[in-house]
Amino acid sequence: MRILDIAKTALSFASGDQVDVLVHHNDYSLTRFANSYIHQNVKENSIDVTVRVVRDNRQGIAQTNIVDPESLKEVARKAGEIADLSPKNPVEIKLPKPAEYTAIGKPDEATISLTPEARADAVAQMVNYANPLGLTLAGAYSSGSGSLAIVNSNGLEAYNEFADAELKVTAMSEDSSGAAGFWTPRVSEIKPLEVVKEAAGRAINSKKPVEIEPGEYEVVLLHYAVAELISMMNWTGISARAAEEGRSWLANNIGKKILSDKITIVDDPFDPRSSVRPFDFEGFPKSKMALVDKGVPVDVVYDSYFATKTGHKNTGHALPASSGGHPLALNVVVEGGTSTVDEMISKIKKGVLVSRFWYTNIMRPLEQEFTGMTRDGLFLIENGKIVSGLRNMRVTDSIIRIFAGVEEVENVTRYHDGIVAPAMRSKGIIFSSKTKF
Amino acid sequence: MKDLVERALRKARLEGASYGDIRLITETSEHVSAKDGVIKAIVSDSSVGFGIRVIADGAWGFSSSSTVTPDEIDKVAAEAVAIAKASAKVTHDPVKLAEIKIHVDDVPSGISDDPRKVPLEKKVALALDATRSMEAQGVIARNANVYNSYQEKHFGSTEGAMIRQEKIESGAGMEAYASDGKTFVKRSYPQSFGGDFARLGWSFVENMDLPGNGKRVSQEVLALLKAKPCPKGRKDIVIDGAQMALQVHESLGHPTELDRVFGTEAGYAGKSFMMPDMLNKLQYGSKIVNITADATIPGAFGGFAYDDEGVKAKRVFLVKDGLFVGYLDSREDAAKLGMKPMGAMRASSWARIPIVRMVSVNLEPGDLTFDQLIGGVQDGIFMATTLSWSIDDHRLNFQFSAEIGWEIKNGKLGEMIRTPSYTGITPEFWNSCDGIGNRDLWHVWGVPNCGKGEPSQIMHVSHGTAPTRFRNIEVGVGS
Repeated sequence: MRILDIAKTALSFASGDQVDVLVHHNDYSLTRFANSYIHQNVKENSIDVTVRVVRDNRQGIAQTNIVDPESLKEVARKAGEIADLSPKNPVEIKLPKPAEYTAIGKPDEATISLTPEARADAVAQMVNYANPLGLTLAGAYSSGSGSLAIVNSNGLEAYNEFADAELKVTAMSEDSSGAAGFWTPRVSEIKPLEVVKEAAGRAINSKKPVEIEPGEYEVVLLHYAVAELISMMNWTGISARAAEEGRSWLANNIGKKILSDKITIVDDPFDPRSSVRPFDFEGFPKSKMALVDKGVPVDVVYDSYFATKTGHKNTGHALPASSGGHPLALNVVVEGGTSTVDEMISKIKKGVLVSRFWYTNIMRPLEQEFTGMTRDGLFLIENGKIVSGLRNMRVTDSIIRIFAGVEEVENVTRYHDGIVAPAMRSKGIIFSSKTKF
Repeated sequence: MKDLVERALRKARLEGASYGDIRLITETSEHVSAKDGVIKAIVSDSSVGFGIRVIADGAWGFSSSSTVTPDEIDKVAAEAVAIAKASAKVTHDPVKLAEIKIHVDDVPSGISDDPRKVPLEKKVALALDATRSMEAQGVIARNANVYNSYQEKHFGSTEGAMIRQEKIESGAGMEAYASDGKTFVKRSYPQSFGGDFARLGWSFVENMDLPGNGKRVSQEVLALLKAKPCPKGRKDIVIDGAQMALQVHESLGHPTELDRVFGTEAGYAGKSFMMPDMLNKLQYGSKIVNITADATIPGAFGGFAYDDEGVKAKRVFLVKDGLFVGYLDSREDAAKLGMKPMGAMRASSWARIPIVRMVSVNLEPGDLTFDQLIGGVQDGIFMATTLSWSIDDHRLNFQFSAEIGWEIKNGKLGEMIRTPSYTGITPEFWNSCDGIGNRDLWHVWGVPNCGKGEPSQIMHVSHGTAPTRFRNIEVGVGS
């Protein structure tokens, strides 16, 4: 509970109409491998303290990573000084009141104490599997633990500990690659051999890739690809700030059926497959919230500032005050369906399977038109079967259009890129150009 | 500080490191952001910490901490060595470092108009004035930000290096949004990504004259809503300096990073098409294309006196007369090619290990005026300010779009075009370059958000560019 003490100490030094203090401790390690050997192996131990002081509805924020009493006193003084210099905010700043939080239990001890030796052993196990197949491996095996404490002058006190681990592997042959990953709060669930087999399978099956012409193709998107598209939708348009700034695809379409009725998206802070969070970065309690219900957008997410400004209820999606106010959903879950990936493939006469995307970027936020490349496993489907690997292609299309065309959703959902998602089959994805590998 | 540096190196050796270095960093920053005439946040940040990098049993280890005490230095040094020994369980050839000249030096910031001495009220007033200057009916949101930072870094190595460097950074920018409910557009000044940045003082910010540009920005964002969409097909294009910075960054900066070439970023940031057997053979661009990596440019956001391996900053050619001639490298990667390191190893903080990064990577100026660049186009588009960007993981197929464009008809700028886009394959694109703006049009753009590495490292880099002309390029991709 040391960081809670640090938070309380900093709070005691700060003076204002309202004050909150956020302290984040992070102990993180990562073993990175490439060309089938470990080339980077790092460890970080850090504490960050953020003090927000509100005086006469003027706000000041100061941060430090030095936690001796003098430094805490200084950061509290600095936040007050900045508040005095800030113009008065026309929207009343109302920090959350004390609340009860859902108990989430202690983080997994084995994950907290994972050693560099254990991570190296896992890499060795995977390399020993891939070498005889003529594949080289690259990737990262990370583990981290930490804690978050938030206190404010209303008497709010929130404290949470967490731990997680993630293994990501890319297997490569001369002319192909495949990737796989697994994230978990319980490191015992990571099975390095299973992860490398998944990546290696895609690399082997996409050898000697052939070319197809740009155009529209029926498509199976693996859960990695779905998560990457949903992540873009989240970052660019599921926030009250995006709505206020006229760039939210979701706010523009609340109540209208714009996606397939097979798509339901929620923000579930207690989904055990993601990083469980009982409160947001202001200490406001979190709860499950519908974002899209059977293809119909429901609502964007709010923090205390946007809740006061708009009269909407606070949904518990504040980021740290230093972010400048951009509420964000951090536990997005796309609900599963009833099909398997093989069943989806079997229904396609001519189409493609996209394993994942790379370097995607939104071109037009309201239409969710994006561009990006395929990567690590693009496959040609003919007559219900995968017949070969494909050279990578550039997609330029609307995510809304792709998800409007979804006809099947996988019966399993998995975590990737901060999103829990299933695979999906859509009537069409538009490839705009080719590349050379 | 010197005592702590020496203590870390002693401890690393004692634990069995054959090489070790430490970076001990103190940083402060101040960031004022305003929106619609109201302050969104004023954040003052201070940070201290150190990272120790070692080679033991022929492999790398790295550990870091924000607790700067002798005991913690000992603990972290021992951790770094233990981690290196774990790395050695799955190793390749033992790590070899190219030899370098060892430096003992002290490098002050050299900035006379230190932005830390500028009253906060002045920065607040500037950010507010900037958002007010963009006020106009139909403009939905107006954002502005003002930034400055200070860093003191001590570097020491078991080879005897002992370098103290100071760095002061300043930056600012603003943007306006508009939407008619169906189309969303934005206009930024002076560039996207929060504006322009440099290792310079307060006058760099003042010279941008944010408020003086607000009216134009708001007029342009409103005009964009009614502007015609980008035509589809092949056109000659002229790209402004700000978007050229991104073009250089993505299609030349990243693929010349030697760690990518050797596959050590393959699991994340990707590889490169610019392999060593192409060095001095690949005609990367047309004869007028000269691209340098130059960390010595005064004030350049990607510049420094020494990189994070203690290599003194240099100016080298990556592309000379269109020919691919050089890489961005590290001591380890340079040794693999038998080259002398050019000094591009950089870490984004004390908690991160140095990796190969861009410095200031620059398209050297040509000899044309802006009127000559435009005047040489019969039917084309002039594109300005980055909007979206994407490139494949070998850095070949790219597609970029700009916030704004104008038709070029018979050598003159014509009607406005909304969010023009263009696409191409890197060497084909650069070989179609037939005109580069002269030194009067050349500016070193600061880029604050170059991402690479795991765990993620956001690096400050820069690109000197001028408006540049390309022939017969595919434009108007998408709707």
